[in-house]
Amino acid sequence: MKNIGLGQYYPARSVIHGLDPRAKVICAIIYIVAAFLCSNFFSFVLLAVSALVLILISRIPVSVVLRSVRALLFIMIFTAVLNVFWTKDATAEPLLSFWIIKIYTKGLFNALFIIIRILAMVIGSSLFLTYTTTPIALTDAIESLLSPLKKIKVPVHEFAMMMTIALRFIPTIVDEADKIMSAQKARGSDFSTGSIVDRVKALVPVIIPLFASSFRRAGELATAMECRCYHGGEGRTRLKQLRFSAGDFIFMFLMLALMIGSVVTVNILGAKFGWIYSM
Amino acid sequence: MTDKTPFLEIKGLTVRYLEDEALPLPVLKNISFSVNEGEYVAILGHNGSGKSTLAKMINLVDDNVSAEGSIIVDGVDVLSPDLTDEQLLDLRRSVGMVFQNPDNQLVATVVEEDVAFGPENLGIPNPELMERVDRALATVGMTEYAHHEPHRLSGGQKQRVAIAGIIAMMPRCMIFDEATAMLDPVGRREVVDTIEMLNREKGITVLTITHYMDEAARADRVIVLDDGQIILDGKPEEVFAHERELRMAGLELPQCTDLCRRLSKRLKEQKGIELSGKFNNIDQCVEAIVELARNVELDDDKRADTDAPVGKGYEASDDEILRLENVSYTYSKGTPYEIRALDDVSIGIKRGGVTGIIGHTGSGKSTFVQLLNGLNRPEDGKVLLSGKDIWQNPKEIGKVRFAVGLVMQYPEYQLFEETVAADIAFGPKNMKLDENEISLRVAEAVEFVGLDRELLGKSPFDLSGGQKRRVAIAGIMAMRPDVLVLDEPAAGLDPRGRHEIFNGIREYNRKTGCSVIIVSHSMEDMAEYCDDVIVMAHSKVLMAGDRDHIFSRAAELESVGLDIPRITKLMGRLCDGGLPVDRGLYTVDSAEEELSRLFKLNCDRS
Repeated sequence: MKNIGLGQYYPARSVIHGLDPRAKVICAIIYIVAAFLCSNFFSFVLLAVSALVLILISRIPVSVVLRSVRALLFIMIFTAVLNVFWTKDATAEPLLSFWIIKIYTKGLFNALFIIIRILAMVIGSSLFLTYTTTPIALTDAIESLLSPLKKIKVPVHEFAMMMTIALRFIPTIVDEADKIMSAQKARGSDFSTGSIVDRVKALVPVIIPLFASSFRRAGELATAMECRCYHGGEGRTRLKQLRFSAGDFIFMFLMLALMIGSVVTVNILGAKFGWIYSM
Repeated sequence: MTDKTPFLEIKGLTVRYLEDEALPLPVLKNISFSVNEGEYVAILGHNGSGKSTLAKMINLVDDNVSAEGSIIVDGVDVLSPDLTDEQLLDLRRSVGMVFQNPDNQLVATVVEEDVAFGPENLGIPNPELMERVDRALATVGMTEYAHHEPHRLSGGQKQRVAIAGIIAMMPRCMIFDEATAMLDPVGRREVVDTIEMLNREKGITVLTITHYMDEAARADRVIVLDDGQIILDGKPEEVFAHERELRMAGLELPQCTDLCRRLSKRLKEQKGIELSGKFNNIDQCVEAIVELARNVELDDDKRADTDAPVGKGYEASDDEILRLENVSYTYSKGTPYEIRALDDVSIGIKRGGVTGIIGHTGSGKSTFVQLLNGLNRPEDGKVLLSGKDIWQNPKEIGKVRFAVGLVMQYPEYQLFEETVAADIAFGPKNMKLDENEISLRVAEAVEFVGLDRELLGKSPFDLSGGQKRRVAIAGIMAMRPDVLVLDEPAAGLDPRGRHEIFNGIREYNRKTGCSVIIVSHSMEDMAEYCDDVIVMAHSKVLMAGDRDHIFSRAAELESVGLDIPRITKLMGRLCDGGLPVDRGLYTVDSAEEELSRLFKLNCDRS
């Protein structure tokens, strides 16, 4: 259990891995905005191609990327099916008509668009964030990007510190949960058979000691932090200062130009020339 | 000496924890002492003697207390009500503290960032910050781990990272609050060596709080606390001369010191001479005895060649309660983190005896015990309980867990019920016993672990650490298993608590005839409380047999980096020094007898 990874970080050497985490957060946002702006066949093709290109340059195996998609498979199929059955197209004949169900070509395309959009959003955010950025770098990025909010008294530093500590203690506590479960099994607890109610009940002897020890840990950690002169974010320096490099700006600019620029252009052109199937 | 003012001066300190009562009993009573810059002071005391409170008071991290008296650190009274925030920060910067649990003091997810945490708080800018971190990591020898995640380090390594985190703040004084209590022998050695180096080479004032006597013996000065009062204060040899007071305070002499003092007493009574010198550590003890041997007539009736193993090695027999046959076990199989924890192990456990299992952290001993009750399922091979394969019917594995009761490490962290009685009854209840039987068993188990019956109605969370440990052990005993397996039952307890737990376990074994297996790091505990010993190394059984057999093979134990009992080490050193003594001894009593023979002393026990 000691070896569970934090998040889904996939260590590799690629352009994306090397970017400043703040640049990656911004790129992920640009990408998601672009996915929402897509409105016709060609812009969706563009989106799909860009997702493939991103996978290639991130050097993360396709199988690993697909793993994160699997979790959303149900939602994708569900929304796709809804689109297929519920899209009405007054301008065209139904492709298939059966009882009260009418399926239009437009519905099929809409379903396809929805799938591409969800896929692109998942792939885009996981490639920029979870796969190529360690959770701790992500926390630093969020702290830095949100720091203007400190002016209006939003406790950004405290939030980031909480995140850091949580990340630090996840493996420790998972380890401890494992030990407590073993200890209770040795006293005859049974976590794997019986009804749902039985199984939930069986977890009480695990949860209570886990809570108790987490509180104890929290107390001891707070004492240790105080002893190391922690007094909030004021006047604190950082060992690892985030610094934008030229590469980060170039990458962000490219993302902005490529994604939003080209998507918008294609959308406008599509509307002008009446290209097929817009959403 | 010039009129140097001490770095730390405590005057008439009385501390009470604020509770509901109007005037709770003080945990520290009118304590006064002072420490000079550069001193290395050990504060000794049993669990609950107030030594941790004292440490926390100096750094003002306990706010739920009321204190009288004064604590003057570098000229500033820290108890003064008008202590400014700046002075407080300054205090914490110059007096660093390292705590007991290595996990609960590391903040960051990367070692170097954790070390940077203190100086970051002080507002140290780069590049000085980076330099400080690098220097601190180099000082504790952890440079190569700078980019590691703390949770993958060993206990000793984590503690060294914690120490580096303090050093990076450049303190003048460091307080170690039982910093070695949760470590294995290897980790303890790493940390104690580091502490000593910080004092001797970097000139940092050290206060180390401990109940390990051999750690205290390395300090310049020892202060003994009992019931919130200072009962002894002096050089280690001065303090060790007050054996009776130490025992009353729940402490004990280091074994070699004990042996030398006993020998010296006998010499004085019977021959009018004394063993000269200090006996704080094994070197001094060897030196004193060898020196004496040069000057007096010896009984050189050398015994039979003592280098050959004595006693009985392990032989398979029919009377075995548990038997492992060609068992292998691998963790995280098929991942990069794959670890072969046990490799084709075949060994048996004698019925009705007390068997010790010893080995390094990671030698496979914890895996071994979790195979015995079916928490782990062997990949290859069989585990036999009274001749029957425990995995014959996997659905019945629950019954095996009642037959082989396992007390895990730090079992007090598994308590959860509202009352102590209910917690002890948890196992028996899972066995579906009836109420009468359960209460009978609870009462019996409480008796064995020596727990006060009045505690039965209390919440387990209100008990002291030692009491919780006993409740957890009682919870397994109450299942009346055929085999009781205990993983480090005395970890972190003071000498008195340790003896009480082990004696309780021995008595349980004698009265119920139940087989007992004890896993431990401590060779001294093995030597004192086990009949047979199994030594694990590199996922295999290195040797097995009775105590005499194991400890007569001390050289082999040392060759795989295991400790040997200190007495065995001492006798071995005497042997190497040319004295005709038996090198396979492991108790203070037997060594005293042997040395009495050597020096032609009468060795009657009175």
